[in-house]
Amino acid sequence: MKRKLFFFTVHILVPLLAGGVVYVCWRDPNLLMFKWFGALGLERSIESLRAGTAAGQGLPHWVLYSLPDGLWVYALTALMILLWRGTKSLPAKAFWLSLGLLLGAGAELGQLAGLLPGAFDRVDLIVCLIAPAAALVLTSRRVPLNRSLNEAS
Amino acid sequence: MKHLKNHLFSITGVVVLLFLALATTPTNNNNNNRPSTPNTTRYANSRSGFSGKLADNYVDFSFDYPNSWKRVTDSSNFVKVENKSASGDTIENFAVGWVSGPSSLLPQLAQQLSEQSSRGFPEYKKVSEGEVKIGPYEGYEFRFSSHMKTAEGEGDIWGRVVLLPSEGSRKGAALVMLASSAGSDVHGPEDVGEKGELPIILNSFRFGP
Repeated sequence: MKRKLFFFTVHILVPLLAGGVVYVCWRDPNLLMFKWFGALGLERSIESLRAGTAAGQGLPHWVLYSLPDGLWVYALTALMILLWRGTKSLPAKAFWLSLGLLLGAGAELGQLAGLLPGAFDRVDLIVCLIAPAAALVLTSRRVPLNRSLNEAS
Repeated sequence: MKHLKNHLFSITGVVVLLFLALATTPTNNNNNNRPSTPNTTRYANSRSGFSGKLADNYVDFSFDYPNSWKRVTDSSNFVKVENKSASGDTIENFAVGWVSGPSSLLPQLAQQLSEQSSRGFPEYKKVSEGEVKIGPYEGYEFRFSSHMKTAEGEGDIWGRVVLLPSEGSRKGAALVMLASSAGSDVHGPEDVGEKGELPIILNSFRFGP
């Protein structure tokens, strides 16, 4: 249980929060989430947070605009790995494990084809391709950090 | 059903991801009923998230920009959108900042802004200034040219700054447009906002929520 909690924290919770921090602190405030923050009465707190972290706006473009989505795709893939590890149902396992890749890269390709709103970005696509692969590699038993967890399951 | 719990947790994970995707959707429609074309995205300014001078001088406005353009972070303006070449060079960009003052003060403000701009652009030269009309709004503008030399090569940058005055309790706005010789449509400061894709933005700019 402790190991699963560790896996959940490192590979799912931290990437989710890190992606969220980038959006909340440094992305354009005209996003739906900022309306929700306003509705929840968090406007002032968010403004203070953004003012306090304004120096981060100088981070590389890909960190601000591509990395958050990649981190979320990573977290989703890691969640699937955690849930489906050790199961013998291959079709279900393959489907769920590939969903992060399908949703992330699919959304970008949908934008390229004009099927989805938004602008296609090559870097976004690359990040969304790397993220699931990174999740598979970093959670594999070859990585010492995860060996004991894999052995336990 | 075998693995029912796994399926349910997996669906929950996907729902969380879709929720995050929804949360990061731009709020482009607000109360503005003007239709945008299929090839453009509507930007509508929203008070939430701004602090400091941008919050103090907040103004409602909206405009449409081509889908191929991207919004970029710019802490000194309300919004900035940009069109880049495949190699990453800026072809055109458009930013909206604040102006506080009646139309009689605009020539003086333009002078100040021109002096500020001259410090940020090498070989800066103001080429024109005067009154201008943007959609239904009377304003004042200046245009400039600049020549940059970098390790990758050299190129021209042309700028146009349009100042729209405050009216009643509504603050004014500064529309800052830049174009470069990296594009093929704009060939000088006189073309900025007249050729290329900037006219799409400029023609759709409106004050109001």
